[in-house]
Amino acid sequence: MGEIARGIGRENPVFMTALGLCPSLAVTAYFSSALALSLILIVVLLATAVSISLLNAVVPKQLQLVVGVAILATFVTIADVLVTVHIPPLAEQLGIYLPLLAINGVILNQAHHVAWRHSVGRSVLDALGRGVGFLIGLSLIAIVRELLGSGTLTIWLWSEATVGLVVPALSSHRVLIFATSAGAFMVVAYIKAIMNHRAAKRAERARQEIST
Amino acid sequence: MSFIAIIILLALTANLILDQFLGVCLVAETGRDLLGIVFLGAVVAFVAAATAAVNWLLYNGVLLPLGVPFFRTIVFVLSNIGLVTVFVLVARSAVGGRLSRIADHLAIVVTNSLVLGVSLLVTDEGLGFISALGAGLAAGIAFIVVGTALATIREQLEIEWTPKAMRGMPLTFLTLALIALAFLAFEHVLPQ
Repeated sequence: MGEIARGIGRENPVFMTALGLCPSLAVTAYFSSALALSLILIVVLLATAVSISLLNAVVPKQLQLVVGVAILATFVTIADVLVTVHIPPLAEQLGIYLPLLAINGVILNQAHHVAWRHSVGRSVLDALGRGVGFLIGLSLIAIVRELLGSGTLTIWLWSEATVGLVVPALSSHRVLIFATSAGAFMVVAYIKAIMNHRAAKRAERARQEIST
Repeated sequence: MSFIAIIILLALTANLILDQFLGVCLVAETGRDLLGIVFLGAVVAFVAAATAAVNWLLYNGVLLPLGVPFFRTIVFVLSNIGLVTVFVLVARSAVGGRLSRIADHLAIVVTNSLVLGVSLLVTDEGLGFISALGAGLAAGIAFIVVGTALATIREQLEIEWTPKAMRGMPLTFLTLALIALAFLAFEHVLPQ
């Protein structure tokens, strides 16, 4: 369980290490697309982690990077094809950011530091933690941006049945900057600042407890 | 779209970094050394243009005629790695240890979303070969423009007093947000 908790909290891939955040920020204007991309990332991450852990005794160290990237790109291609065939509007919405998962820092980092070095079980737990951490981080950004920028909270938009709600008080007073890319950078900055502040306070408290 | 128009579009109007979030990490992690930023930007421009051209040929010459355009992700990733490996070997043997920074930069750049993103954008938008080269060049220009702006503002911020919790990544991202806002002014540069 420790592995999972670490990926969600202390080593959250979105806020703590800023990994894999970059292109994925583009889908955070709406919660629905952030959720969809995160779920795809979790599936791809798990598949990659399992395949690499199974191969780590066979592949020589010098080839690990190339083999890892090739495995990851294969799973991303499969995910891309499945989404394009079954949910075309979602594929259109995610655009190049779905294929860009093939060089996503969260997955590459997990492969490099964990999957190539540990057994399948450990690797899966770690991947799950990082995946859920990514989901939570991206969702947090998306919820803030969508509520303030559009006054809505959409969860699923790409089939006959759409799930989502409109917040009347917010949708009549939209703050348009949150819908633009500048809003994304701003939301990340403030969430990270709040986390820094709380971490500093915690450290301060711990120091006082030791001294008393 | 013409060569010049695509550069203006991707470097200013719809800046690849600020508007499309490609290579944000790269720009946020580079230091305040202006010469280094220009140098890295030149490497990005060269690699992005070269890979965009090669991937354009692979996509339009092989994948589309075979009817398998969905293989582009894996083909682009592997061709990028292959191409950059060749560049690294050439750079090592041509300039030796003196400019080994080039080899390091090449390794960073290959798995960067700025490089792969340009190739994907070019095929998504169905651009021509010349425009693909322009898009690659625009990636480097966008990196230099945003990187130098960010570095200069960060240099001033180090002198100023800033709240403790905002130091580091929060201020970098807030600065990027303000630069992105400023870049909205370029929106109507190109005729619609």
